[in-house]
Formats: sequence, structure tokens, C-alpha cells
Amino acid sequence: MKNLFAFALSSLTRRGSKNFFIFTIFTLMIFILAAIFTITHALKSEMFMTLDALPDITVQRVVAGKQTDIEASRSETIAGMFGVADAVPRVWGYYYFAKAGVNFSIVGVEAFGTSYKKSLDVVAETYADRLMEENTMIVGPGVAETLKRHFFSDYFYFVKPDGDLKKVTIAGVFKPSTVLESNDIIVMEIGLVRDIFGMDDTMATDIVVRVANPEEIPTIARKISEIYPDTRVVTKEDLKISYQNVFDYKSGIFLALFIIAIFTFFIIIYDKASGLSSEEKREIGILKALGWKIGDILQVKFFEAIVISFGGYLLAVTLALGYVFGLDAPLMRSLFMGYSVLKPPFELPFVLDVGTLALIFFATVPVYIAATLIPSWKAATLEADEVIR
Amino acid sequence: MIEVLNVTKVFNPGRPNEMTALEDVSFSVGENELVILKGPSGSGKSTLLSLIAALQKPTSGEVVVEGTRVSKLPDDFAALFRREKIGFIFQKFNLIPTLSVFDNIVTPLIPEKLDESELMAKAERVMEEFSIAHKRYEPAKNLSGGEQQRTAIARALVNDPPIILADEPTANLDAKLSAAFLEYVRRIKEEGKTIVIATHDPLFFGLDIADREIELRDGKIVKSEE
Ligand SMILES: Nc1ncnc2c1ncn2[C@@H]1O[C@H](COP(=O)(O)OP(=O)(O)OP(=O)(O)O)[C@@H](O)[C@H]1O
Ligand SMILES: [Mg+2]
Repeated sequence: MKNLFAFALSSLTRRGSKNFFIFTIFTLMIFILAAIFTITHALKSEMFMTLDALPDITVQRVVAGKQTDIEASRSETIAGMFGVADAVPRVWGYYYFAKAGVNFSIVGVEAFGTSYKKSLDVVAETYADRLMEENTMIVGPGVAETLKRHFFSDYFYFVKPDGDLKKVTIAGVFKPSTVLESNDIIVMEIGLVRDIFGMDDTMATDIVVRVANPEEIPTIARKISEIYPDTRVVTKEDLKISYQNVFDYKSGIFLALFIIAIFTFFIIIYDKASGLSSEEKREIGILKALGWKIGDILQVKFFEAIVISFGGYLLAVTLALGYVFGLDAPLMRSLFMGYSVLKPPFELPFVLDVGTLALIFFATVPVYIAATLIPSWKAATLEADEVIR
Repeated sequence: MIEVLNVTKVFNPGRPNEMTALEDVSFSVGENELVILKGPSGSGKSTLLSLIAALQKPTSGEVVVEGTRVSKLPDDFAALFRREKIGFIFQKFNLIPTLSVFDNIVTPLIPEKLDESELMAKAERVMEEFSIAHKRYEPAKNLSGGEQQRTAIARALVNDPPIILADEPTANLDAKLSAAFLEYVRRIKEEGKTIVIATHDPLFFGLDIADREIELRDGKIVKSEE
């Protein structure tokens, strides 16, 4: 031991268990804060990316309070309305695969034409030879996985509402990069979807509307519901709000964690700031009597505080980033996303919230250092003679 | 060497708990002299030592050490003054219990930013002199009373200061260790140091090597004999 920094380190290890405890709590607290904020931030940007891809307006038919099929022909009327860029009937639904206890989302598209095949190649591993056959589908990786586990590697038998079986060949699997949107999805030709769900050829599940000028969305939505009183018209804005509500509700759980973390932090700060133990005061008195300047003593205390707070911060942020982006935030994420058998294997998009990390830094590290230095400074300036009494 | 001139020290002046610890105290200590400060508990001995060491400032009066008015020194200069001029031996020795003997002894040197060999040489010299080198890695809390005593003396002398101040150095020692301490004082005096010992241990009264005994009572000098 030959300089102030070495003295600080030795003084940390001398009060080892107390300092280790503080370091652990401090690190854990920043870890929780950093993890919460990083997940929130990642999910938020993910959510808004997804939301932006949503249709401007979705039109559903509601009978007796329940959503039901809508006449596809209504899309033509809607498309003719002033300000509407296009209106497309969609055919889709959930298919319950009882053996695995999961739901697949089946989405109908216009026939797999040549041009469609090309764009499919971008997002999916296709088996070109099968794609042109009749009764084929492209499935998400989660679906492919589940089917394979039940020995359907090449095709699957769907059970229709009347009990008949419908054999559909797997012609491709979506690439893992699009996993979030497509993991539990099955895409097939629109007629085939109607066949499996037992829908009439003239019907659709809903109609999605694209509007040229976003500001006209509310007006057009109102007009549609005036023309078709039996419909529920949902705008992108409505969806955003309901997503946001779910999100805010989940954030409440995190707020609780957050408060616990802050609370612990202030207990540490309070303990630190409320003064030194008599042993610590005595030590400061000894050092002063031995010819240490107040500055020397504060430098040692500063080094001690830096090692604990900055060391804890760096460790915590590293752990938090590793936890969120490396391990995909087990536990915390399922709190946020809800539990779905097929949903999990997507990666949180790596978006670093530098602003928030800096905020956490400035809200903790300097506070801790100040809470360490101020009582030491007081002891060093006012009470140093106690040691020789 | 040390001149205490009309020093008064009042604690908490103007408050209900006002306490005059020293009142118009004057005396001087010449180079290489040994002065014993005696007096009952609460008579102001420790306060006087801390004023000489510039750990506190007198309410009025002055303390001059080697021509420097230490009672007027700003904090940082007071620290430098202590580092260069004063070796302190405390009641109960005040070692840092969890530090090793070596680390305790070099503590006064740490702010000086010496290079390692110089620091080692200084520590080695005093550890040898006070026969504590064999315990250098031992935490101070594991030491016997005598070993603590020698470590504390070594620490006070590591910087080779001209003045040694000791506050009740034998208060917690048995007769044998007290006698041993006296021997160390003799040796330190022979080395040419100026020494002030505050004590109420009769062992130090009427000592052959003492140049003066100053008796305090209620903050005033009641007797001073050569
Ligand atoms: N910082 C302080 N604040 C208030 N009063 C103090 C302070 N330091 C000393 N005193 C008081 O001043 C008086 C002298 O104290 P001092 O410690 O100098 O006595 P002492 O002669 O060393 O006694 P002892 O033999 O018990 O060590 C005591 O009454 C003490 O309570
Ligand atoms: Mg005393």
C-alpha cells in the first residue's frame, strides 16, 4: 500500500462485507432500472414499427355483438369513396390445433402467382416445385416446428367445420428474421382459407382500407359506419391507443419494480448521508492527526465511492444489456408480452437508449458520491480532534 | 521550539454548554526537552496537545512552533506542518485495527507520494528500531498490547519529526509495558527529539529525564517545576 488509491481499495476491503452489500444492492438496483428502461424502449420501438404497418382503417361486421363475416363486395363501395386509396377484403382466422393446444393464424392471400412467388422468396424458404401446386401453404417457423413435432413435416390435414379433412402441403417456411410477425402464421390461397373455415365465397373476415391523407382517416371512418350501420370501424389511432393501454398496464408492474429499486437506493443514500460510524470518524481523526490534508481524506473517500458507484453502474449496465439483448430478457419479457406458446422466440430489437442510461447514471453515481463525501467532509473539517480526547 | 502564549480555548462559546477548557496558558518547550503535562481528567491536557499540533485553533493567544504561528495556519498548511514536524502517540494508540502493522506505520507517508523504495526504507528503519518488523503483515487488531505500543511509536517516528506528542500513552498498559514505554521515551529523547507527554500516570512524575512538569487544573497552570 503506497498511495491514496491503494489506501482506498484497502479501506473498501477492510469494511468488506458492508461495502460488498452496498455494491450488490447498488448494482442490482441499476440493473433493474436499466433493464426495465431498455426493454420498454425496445418494445416501444418494436410496437410502433408494427403499428405503422397496420391498415389505416379496418372494417368488421358485428352481429349481436359478435364479429362475423362481411360481404367482400362492400370493399368496392368503400374503395369508391372520396379519399380512399384502396379497400381490400381479407380472409383470415385462427385455427386451433388441439394436439399441441395452440392457435395458428391462417391468412388468405390472392393466388400464389409468379410475381407473388418472387416476393415470397425474400421472406421465406420456399420449395419452388411445390409452390405452384394446388393446396399449398407457407408457414411461420413456429408452426413448422409444432407440426414437425407431430409428424407433419410436409403436409397437414385441416379439419373443416363439417368434419371433412383438407390436406395442405407445406411449400415454404418464413425466414427467422421476420419471426415476430410470422411465427405463428400460415399463409395460403384465399379460396383455400374459405374452404377450411367453411366460409361462403362472397364473404371475407374484414376489409382493410388505405387512406391517402392520414388526416381524413376519422372522417372516412365515420362515413363508412354511416353507410354500413352493422359494422365496427377501427382506425389505426384506436389500435394505437388500445395497445398503449395494455402497454401502460404492463408498465405498472415495472413501475412497482422501479419504485422498489429507487426506494432501496434512497435507503443506501440515507444511511450514507446520515453520518459516519464512530469507527469511521475515528479513522478520519487519526489520519488528520497523522498529517493528512482534508483533500487527501476526501480523495480516498472519492476513490471508494467511485469504485462502488461507477463500478456498480458499469457492471449493472453491462449485465442489463446482456440480459435484454443477449438472453432476450427471460422473465421480464414474458411479464410484458403476455404468455403465448408460439410467441416467445423473437429477439428484442437492439435499440440502445443512451439518453436514459445517461439519466440513470446522473441520478445515481453522483448522488452516491455526494452522499459519501459530504459526511466525510464534515467529519474531516469539524470533528477531527475527537480522536485525541 | 514550542511556545504557548496566553492561550485560551473556549468550546461552544455563547451557548449554554460553553466550556472553558484552557485559560491564559503560557509556557515554552526548548529543543530536545521533555515536558510532562499532568493534571486530573478534564483539566485540558489533550486540548493543549491538539492546539500544539494545530488540530484546533485557540480562542485567543498563540502557539508558535519553530517560528511558525501554527495557531494561524489554514487547514492544509496545518496538515503539512503536522506531517513534517509532529509525531503523535495517542491514548489507546489508535491504530487502524484492520490494517497490517506495516500499513499502519506507513499511513503518515501515503499523502507524500514517495517512491516505493523510499517508503520501504523509512518503514524498515522504524520497524527494526522498535522490534516489530517480524509482525509486519499482522493486522493491528491481532497484536498484543506491547506490540501495539511499539507499532504506534514506530508510526509516530516514521517521518522523523522533531516533535513527539503523546497523550496518555500508558493509560491502558500494565506496569511492565509502561516501564518499557519509558525506556522508548528515553531513547527518543537521546535521538534529539522534543517531547511533550500528557499523562496522569505517576510513573512520569519526578522523572530524571524530564526537563519540566506542568500541572494543569481546570484549564489553568497551577504549577510548573524544572
Ligand atoms: N470538542 C469539544 N467540545 C466541547 N468540549 C470539549 C471539547 N474538547 C474538550 N472539551 C472539554 O474540555 C475540557 C478539557 O478536555 P481535555 O480532553 O483537554 O481534558 P484532559 O485533561 O485531556 O482529560 P483526560 O485526562 O480525561 O483525557 C473537558 O471538560 C472536555 O469535556
Ligand atoms: Mg485527554
